[in-house]
Amino acid sequence: MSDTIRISPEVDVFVQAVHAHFADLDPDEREELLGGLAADITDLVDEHGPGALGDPGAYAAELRAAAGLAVTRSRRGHILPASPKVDAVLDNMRAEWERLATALPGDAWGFLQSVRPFWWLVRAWVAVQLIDLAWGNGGYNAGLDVIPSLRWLGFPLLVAASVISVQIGRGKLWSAPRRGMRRVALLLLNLFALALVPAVVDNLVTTAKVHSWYGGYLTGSAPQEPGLSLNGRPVRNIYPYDAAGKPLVGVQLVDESGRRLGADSWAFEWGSPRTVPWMNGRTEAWNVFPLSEQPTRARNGRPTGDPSQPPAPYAVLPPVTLTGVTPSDLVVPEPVTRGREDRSGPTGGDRSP
Amino acid sequence: MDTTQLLKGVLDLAVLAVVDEEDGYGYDVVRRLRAGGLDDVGDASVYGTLRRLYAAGALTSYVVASESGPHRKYYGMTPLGRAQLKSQRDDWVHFSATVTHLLEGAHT
Repeated sequence: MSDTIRISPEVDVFVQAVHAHFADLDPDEREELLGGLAADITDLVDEHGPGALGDPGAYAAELRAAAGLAVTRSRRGHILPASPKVDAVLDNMRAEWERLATALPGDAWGFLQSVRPFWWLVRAWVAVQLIDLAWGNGGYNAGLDVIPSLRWLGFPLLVAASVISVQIGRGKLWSAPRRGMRRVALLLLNLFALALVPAVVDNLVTTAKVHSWYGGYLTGSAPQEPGLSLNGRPVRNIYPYDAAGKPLVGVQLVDESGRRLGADSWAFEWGSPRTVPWMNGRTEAWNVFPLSEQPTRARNGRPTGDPSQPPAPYAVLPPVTLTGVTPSDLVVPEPVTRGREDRSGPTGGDRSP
Repeated sequence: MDTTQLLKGVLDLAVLAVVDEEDGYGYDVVRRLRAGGLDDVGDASVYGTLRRLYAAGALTSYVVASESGPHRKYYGMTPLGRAQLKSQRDDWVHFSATVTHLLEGAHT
């Protein structure tokens, strides 16, 4: 008799059906009892044809009785594995999976089997992290700690989940009686946990993330709205002084690219002065300083009174020089000009030498 | 007479005797039992008996790998199995002699 036998479909179906009647056993017991059955049934069919295969249920009952196992019976009196079809399908899938897995080169399947306990711990960890994500830190977008926080509950929960997961993995929980739907649920939960590992890891707080957040915190505090700012705080108005230290009025500012320095408008709090721009014809020029200011009502933010030039913070500043640079020669504006351009406030300007 | 009931009582002994001759896998043991005259023996009963004897420590088992088909599970004797075989064989000889004697007495 040859040792190399192929399983024919009818033998496979029969063996799976018999397997389903031993669903109450744990995998090791089942393997002990049913290991080699496919080869034996194959021989039987080879010798007597598929007709020799009888009712798998009766066969299983005979096998159970001879092996000294309790015969499980339903209330209707049939020998009843809980979910024979589901179990048969799952057993089939498992057999097929193991056939494929054992064919992997380099005993990869053996390696994976050896690291199964690691997976039991990982799935427990994922489960607790999901709780954290839903109701703990993660829920507030605060990221996940490696040990879930959940106030003081994280660590005890993790320990409990690990114990449960390992016991399930060892077949001490959940598997007996190994009912079909429970196996499906376990399979789905495993797949679910596997799929969520990247998401959980992605949500973990790492040193790099903290640094990035801190950086974001620093830059994030700077106003994102257009306008000038100094060290992250908005600048409402600018007071230019000439080289001699005298205040200037009506200085237009642009940056190295020619962009006008200033904002289209200035945010102001009710009760604080709002700024009023200079005008170029009908166009507002917010880059001309100092801007005029107008008080507002604290109650509704409406302007009260006329815009006027605010007093400069310093009457004069110390004179400054720079070697090789000649400061602008300034012309003091006539009082009559100020009267004519009342809306825009006092005019002034520099005139290049 | 239904020999199945009789067989149940001595199947352990018969299986042990067959495996004692030579190690064998499930269907091989079935075949040898039938060749020995136990035509009515059921496959599943033999497999179950083999597994039970193995679980009780009377048999040892090893798998012979196959590259393209299911692995065969061979059974062999353990010292415990041999002791059990000897003891049960003695019991059987004694018992059958007694029954034979009774039957012959009833017949005469």
